[in-house]
Amino acid sequence: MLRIENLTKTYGDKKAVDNLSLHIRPGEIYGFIGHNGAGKTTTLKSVTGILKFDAGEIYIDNTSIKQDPISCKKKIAYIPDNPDLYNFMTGIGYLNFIADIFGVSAEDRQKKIRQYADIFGLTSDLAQPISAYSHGMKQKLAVISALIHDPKLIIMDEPFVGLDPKASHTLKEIMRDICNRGGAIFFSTHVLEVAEKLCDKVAIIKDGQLIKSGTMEDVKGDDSLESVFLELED
Amino acid sequence: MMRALFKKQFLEINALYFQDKKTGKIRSKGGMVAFVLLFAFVFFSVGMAFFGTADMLTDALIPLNLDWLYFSLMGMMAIALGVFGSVFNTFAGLYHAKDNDLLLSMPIKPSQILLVRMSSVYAMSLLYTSLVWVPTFLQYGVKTGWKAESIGFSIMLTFILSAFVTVLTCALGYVVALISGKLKNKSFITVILSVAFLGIYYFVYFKINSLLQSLAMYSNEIGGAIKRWVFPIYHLGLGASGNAISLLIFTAITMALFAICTLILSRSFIKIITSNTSSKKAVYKEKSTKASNQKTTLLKKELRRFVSSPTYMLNNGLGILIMIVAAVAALIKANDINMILGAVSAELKGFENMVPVIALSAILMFISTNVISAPSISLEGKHIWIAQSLPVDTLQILHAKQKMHILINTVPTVICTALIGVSFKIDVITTLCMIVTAFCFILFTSALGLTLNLKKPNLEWTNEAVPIKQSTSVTLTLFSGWAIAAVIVVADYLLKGLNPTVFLSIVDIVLLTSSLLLNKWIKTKGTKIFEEL
Repeated sequence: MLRIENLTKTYGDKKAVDNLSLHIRPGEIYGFIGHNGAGKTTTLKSVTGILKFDAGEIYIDNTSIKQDPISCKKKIAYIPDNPDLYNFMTGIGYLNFIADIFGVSAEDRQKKIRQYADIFGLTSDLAQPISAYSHGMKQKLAVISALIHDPKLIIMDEPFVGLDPKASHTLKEIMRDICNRGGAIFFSTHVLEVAEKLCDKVAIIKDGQLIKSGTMEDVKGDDSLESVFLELED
Repeated sequence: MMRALFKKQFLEINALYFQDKKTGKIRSKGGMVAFVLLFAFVFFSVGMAFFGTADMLTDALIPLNLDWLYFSLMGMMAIALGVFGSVFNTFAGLYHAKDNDLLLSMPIKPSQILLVRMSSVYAMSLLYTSLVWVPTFLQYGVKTGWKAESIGFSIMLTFILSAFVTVLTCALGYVVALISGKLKNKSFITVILSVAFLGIYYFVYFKINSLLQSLAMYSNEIGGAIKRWVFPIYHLGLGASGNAISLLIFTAITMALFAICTLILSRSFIKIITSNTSSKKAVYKEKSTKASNQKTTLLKKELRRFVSSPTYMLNNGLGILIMIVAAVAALIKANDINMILGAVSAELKGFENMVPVIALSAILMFISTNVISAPSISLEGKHIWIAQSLPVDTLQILHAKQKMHILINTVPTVICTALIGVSFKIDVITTLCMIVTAFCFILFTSALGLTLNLKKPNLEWTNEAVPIKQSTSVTLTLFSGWAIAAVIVVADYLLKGLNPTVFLSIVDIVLLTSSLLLNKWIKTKGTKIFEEL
């Protein structure tokens, strides 16, 4: 579903991502962990086509994001670490905007909006302007907008920040459900317990370089993910 | 405790002027000096304008021994300026301060918090009131000689009048607090109020001479009305002209109003700041929706962005309204205009041929003020990731911004040009040519604004007024438009004798070629720049 080959991205003299390669298959929840400034967000933004990279290749469902960014973007959804959404729109206005861009039919979008807004308890707030939303509500709206067009791959940057426990739990269930239906999820997190419980595979990045990746069992063995992570960081 | 609170408030006011809003750091010494000089220049310029008004009023009223009426009228101007200048910040300053929760959690009475906040309003009122009141008593001194009691009373009245303005401003802020939660379409209401104020301002500005004549003719009646209906202002006028009892009466009235205002406001203070009246919840009801294609969706998004922001509409779209008003005014004054044009044509050979081009040039200047595409990239701000991550061709996103510019400008331009054509008795063919040229100019400015903003984007703003009012792209697009409008007139003058339709066709070709070149750049380099922002 997602193949990253020798990805390199530099900012001035600093290599933010250095020769990183990863392969995420359909049905997998792939966790991406690393300290602040390790290169996680740069990698995720490169995958979504927001950032241009210097070397390497990224394939979404065997299509190069460099060669055909639009068909790649049609298959993915991105939830950033800070959900800065259009404050001048209402919640429903934003969802309709995203649905229109992705060509979701009126019937389908209504069904999805009803379903996900109810699950996240956001239905009654949809007529409110986004400027009146709390961080958590914006995060929920960003999640709903990501799900509205049935993406094959969801890229999430710290998706649980700002969500209440119920919404976090719901999101985890949805993530698992998407993967059970053949989708894939690639997400970054600092909450190692979540990664440990939720992910099928995990990658650890340090100073832009991939230092360990594989199935959760391969990476952590008999230890906890936290102790492995701290050991690798040292 | 009050001392600590006032000190905090003073630091807050200080930060407002001496702290860089972008970085949060205290301005450098050079920056501070430049800021103070700029402030002094603005203060002096505005003060001089009121000094001029005071000059006209003293000439009209002092010979009639109506000194008190002079002070009353200038006092009313000071009150109007003070209230208008401070009222926009008062509601936010009194009720929406960031330290509400912090102060309420401390052992401080709400009335004390309110009083401290009112001191900020007072400082602001003092600033605006002085702009009118200082030139008022200086002009009086120049015309009547410097009397100690009048100077002393006037200085005292600067502070008392500011307190009077504070009362009115706080009362208005209170009303805004009560009704703001119930208002819908706040952006449009703000725009309408601002436009109404501008309209009144220009009406008074253009009618000042006839107003002064009426004032001189009906000064007794006006004076009588002030005595009857706004007696505090009557005593303000009398006090400023040297009547100690009136000064005391005005001071007592102001103090009483201040006390009543503080009492009323402090009673409702907690209720207002702790209730969420500013966002009266609109409950979502599911409705059947209609799917739109990408182009329409992107255009709708740009339109929503424009109409959601009074700052955007007022600063980059006011020319639309001015164009229509100017065209209607030209239609009403058509006879006078044609008389003047006839007279000039008789004096100046070939002027007749230039009339359509001069009229068009004025329209182009109005169009130049509607620089809607010029801040459109910067306005993406922190949201730019949305446009960059969507499965949409970048050129389509940029075209939506241009289309928005073209759409907003075209209809009023066509109406304005057609009305001008009728008013100036320009033949139909030439009027149609003018419309085509104006449209070519709109195409050009839409591309120019977008190009300049792609070259000089600013996505790091915290206040949208920065990209809208203070950006290089907006300034350059505006002035380039004006320069082109002027160059068109000069070129027409130099090519005397050329038929207007032929001349305008040449202008069309130049504008269209320039637009095509700019659009080519947008398509190739512009899209890449946007993708890498």
